[in-house]
Amino acid sequence: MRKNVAVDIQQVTKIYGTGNAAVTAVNNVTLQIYDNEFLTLLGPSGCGKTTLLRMIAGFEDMTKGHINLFGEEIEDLPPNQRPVNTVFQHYALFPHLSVYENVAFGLRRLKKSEAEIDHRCKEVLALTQMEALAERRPSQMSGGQQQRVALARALAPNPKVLLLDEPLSALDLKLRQAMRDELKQLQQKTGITFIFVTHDQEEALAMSDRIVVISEGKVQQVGTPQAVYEAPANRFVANFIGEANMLEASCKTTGKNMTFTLVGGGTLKISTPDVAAGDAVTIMIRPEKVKVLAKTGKKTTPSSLQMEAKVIEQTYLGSVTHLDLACDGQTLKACINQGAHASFATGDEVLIEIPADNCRVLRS
Amino acid sequence: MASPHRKSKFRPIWDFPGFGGLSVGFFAFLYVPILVLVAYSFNGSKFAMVWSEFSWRWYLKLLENDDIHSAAINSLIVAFFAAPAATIMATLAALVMVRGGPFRSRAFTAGLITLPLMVPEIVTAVATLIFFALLNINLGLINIILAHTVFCIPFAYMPIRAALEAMDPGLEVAAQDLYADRWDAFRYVTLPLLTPGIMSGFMLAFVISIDDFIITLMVAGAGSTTLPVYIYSMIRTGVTPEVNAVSTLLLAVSVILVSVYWLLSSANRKGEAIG
Ligand SMILES: Nc1ncnc2c1ncn2[C@@H]1O[C@H](COP(=O)(O)OP(=O)(O)O)[C@@H](O)[C@H]1O
Ligand SMILES: [Mg+2]
Repeated sequence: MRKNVAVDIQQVTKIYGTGNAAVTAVNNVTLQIYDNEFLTLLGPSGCGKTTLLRMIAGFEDMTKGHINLFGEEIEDLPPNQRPVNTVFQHYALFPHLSVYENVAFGLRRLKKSEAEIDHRCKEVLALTQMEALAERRPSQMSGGQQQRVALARALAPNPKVLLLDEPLSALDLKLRQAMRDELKQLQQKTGITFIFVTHDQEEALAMSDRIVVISEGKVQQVGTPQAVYEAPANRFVANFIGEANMLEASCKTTGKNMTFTLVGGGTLKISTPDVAAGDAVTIMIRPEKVKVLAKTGKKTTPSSLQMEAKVIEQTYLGSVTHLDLACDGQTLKACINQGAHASFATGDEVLIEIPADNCRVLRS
Repeated sequence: MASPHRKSKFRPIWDFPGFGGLSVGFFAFLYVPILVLVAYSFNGSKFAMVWSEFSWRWYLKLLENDDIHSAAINSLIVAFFAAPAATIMATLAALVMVRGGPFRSRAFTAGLITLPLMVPEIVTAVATLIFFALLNINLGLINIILAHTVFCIPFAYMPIRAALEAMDPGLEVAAQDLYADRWDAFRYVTLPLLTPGIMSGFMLAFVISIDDFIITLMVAGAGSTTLPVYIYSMIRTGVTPEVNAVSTLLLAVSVILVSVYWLLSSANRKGEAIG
């Protein structure tokens, strides 16, 4: 089944300013966002996420490119004529209006009947669990409640696409985690396409159908949370999402299984289609895939590289323990489950094992 | 626990000898004459400076003085037209300056709007007089209304601009996101939020217009005397207790308007803290 494209972003570039002061905020971005999808734009602060959202909403002109909404050109439509609503980072609730009137604002501008407005307001206030506070002013509510009102207000006109610009960043940790689940459920219940912006990789992994990783205005990778975590396209993605060990290596033999020789010595046989003999590459392995054994331990998997290492620091985190290991002049990170293994002390000489199956070859 | 005798290098200013006395003297110099004026407006004696008994006598006499009536009515008419006109122009100016985005000569325009606050009033007065004379505009009260409208604009402008600057422009963006065109965004978001600021601008313009003397004295022709100008002409023939009474009334009107202005602007500040 072919998926319906909700937002089609074609080679969009945004340059602020001119001459020496020019800043390329969005650089030649091409992206299809599907109908009924929870898509996350993930990247560090200043990478152009907000600018991209503002261009979809119509608050910013594009320097180059096109954006289509369900197959229709929207470039010439002002923001108030685009069937798109936004949950703003700082909510931007109208302080002079009650919660109910905030939620009704969009419907009133669309000239809906009073009965329709009342019905829809009650519906979205129930959906966001804010019925009880309908008569309050925004100033009489907590941050979490204001957040729900902002959500209700943006959902009320039943937009085709909902844009959320770091909506959880102003909340405290507990609330943020609870809201993640709620937002995800809300998206599934309403069937509205969500474009969610965050710089928090954990948030992105927890909520998204697909993640778009952005750096310096460019798309680095588009994929499911699993794909971007397990098969990052480049060093930036590998480092930005989760933790990663990077081993410099060179590619030796051609064939289905290539042999990679690490700069510090040792070889790994990995099957990968992406590189040619002679390429200098980086081999990435996640800390939880690095096995740590006692010095006398036996190799557990045949296709793995074994190295001697020394524990230089350990951090106990309850369910897991993080180890910093000195190995061949560089520091590797490992993350081991509590209980399953013997515990290690700082200064211990250990053996580490890098399974070839869990390695990912990145071009340097 | 902090020691209550901890020595600080910096003493609060009221610790310096003579500071208390100086400030008491300052306030006394400012307010005692006004208090005396108000008290003596209730003096039964017909000599302005000799106290006899409490009486409404001079207020009753004011009621019978047709000249004062017409002067007071002239003052109200002028303020009634000049203050709203000045407020509307000030609001438009503030919208352009704060929300209009960058334009050429923006800083120059900003200075031009508020410059009249720094030009000596007598200069404005003489210039306005010459202007009307040259163009041969002789429309009685309308001359005064025109002059007041113009010089009240910067007074109305200041609080309105401050209120607009304190307002989050993100709210107008949110309104547009929710299908409001620019007019709707102004009408349903900007204007209601700006109303306290506009009201305080209006109050200020109204008080300034009611109280103005120098410009009005220059511009007013025969038959269009306002209250401050009339009071001045009364004093020239000696300070009568009637002057005390009418001054007290003028003071009361000003105090009431300024209090309303203050209440509105503090409500405004509270709004900001929340928004
Ligand atoms: N109105 C603007 N004028 C000039 N530069 C801007 C403007 N808005 C954003 N930028 C610049 O564009 C880049 C991307 O900004 P933004 O889209 O806000 O990033 P993000 O939302 O990912 O933090 C930044 O370098 C920022 O400084
Ligand atoms: Mg941003």
